[in-house]
Amino acid sequence: MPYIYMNIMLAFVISLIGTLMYRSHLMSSLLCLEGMMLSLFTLNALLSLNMNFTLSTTVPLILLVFAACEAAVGLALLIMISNTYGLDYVQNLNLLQC
Amino acid sequence: MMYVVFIMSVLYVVGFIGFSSKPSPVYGGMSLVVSGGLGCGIVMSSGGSFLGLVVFLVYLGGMMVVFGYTIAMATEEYPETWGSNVVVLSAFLVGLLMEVFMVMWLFSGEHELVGFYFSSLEGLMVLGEGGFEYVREDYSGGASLYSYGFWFLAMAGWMLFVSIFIAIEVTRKRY
Repeated sequence: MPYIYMNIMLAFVISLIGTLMYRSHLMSSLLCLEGMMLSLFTLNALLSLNMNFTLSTTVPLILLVFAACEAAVGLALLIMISNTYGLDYVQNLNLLQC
Repeated sequence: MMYVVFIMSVLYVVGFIGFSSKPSPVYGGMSLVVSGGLGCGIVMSSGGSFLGLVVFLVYLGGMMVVFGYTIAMATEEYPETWGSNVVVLSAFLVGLLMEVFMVMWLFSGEHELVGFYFSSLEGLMVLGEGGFEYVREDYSGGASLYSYGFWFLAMAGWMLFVSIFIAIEVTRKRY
C-alpha cells in the first residue's frame, strides 16, 4: 500500500472524526466537512493520475461541484442560525428537547 | 529530494489535524487553506497540473473565500488558537503523535512511495499505429466532461442552478 494514499486516507478519517465531535462552533464542523471533500478530491485525483485511468479524471471535478453545492447549503443554514441567535454556538440549538 | 512528495503529504495530514482539533474557525480556515495548497502540490507532482489549478481556483479561491467572510460575520471577540486552550492543544498533540507513529511504522516496512513513478515525458506517450502521440491525462478528463460525461455536466449544472434557489429560500426572513 503506497505511503501517500495512506496519508490521505488518514486525513479523511481525521476530518471525519472532527466533523462528528462538536465543540462550541458549528462553523468548525462545516470546515471539517470541507476537509473531507478536499481529501476525497486529492485521493481521486492521485489514483486516476497514477493508474492512468484517463477518463476518471472527470470524477474529481464532479466531486468538487457537488462539494460546492453542499457548502453553499451548509453556509446558508449557518447564516440563518447566526441571524437568529447572534452566534453559531451549537448549544443554542436546543428547541428540540426530547 | 526523492521524499518531497511524502513530506508534503505528512504536512497535509498535520494541517488536517490543525483544523480537526477545533480551534476558532478563523484559524481552522487558515489551516484548511494551507492543506489545500499542499494537496495541490501533491496532485501536481503526479502530473496533474490542471487538477492542481482547479484546487487553487475553485476550492481555495471560490469556496474558501466564501467560508472566510462567513467566518468573519459569525465570529467571537477573542478567538481561541491552538496555544490558548488546553483541549485544542492536547487534541493537536495527540493527532501529531499518531502521525509520527504512522510515519515510523511505514518506514520500518517495505512500501512503495506512490505507486507508479513515470518520468515526466514517458508517462504522456501513447503508442499508436503510426507513431507516438502525446496525451495530457487531466486535461482530457476535463474535456471528456463535455463529450462522454455529458450527463454529469447536465446534472452538475442543474444542481448548481437549483442550489442558488435553495440558498435564497433558506435565508428568507419569516416576519
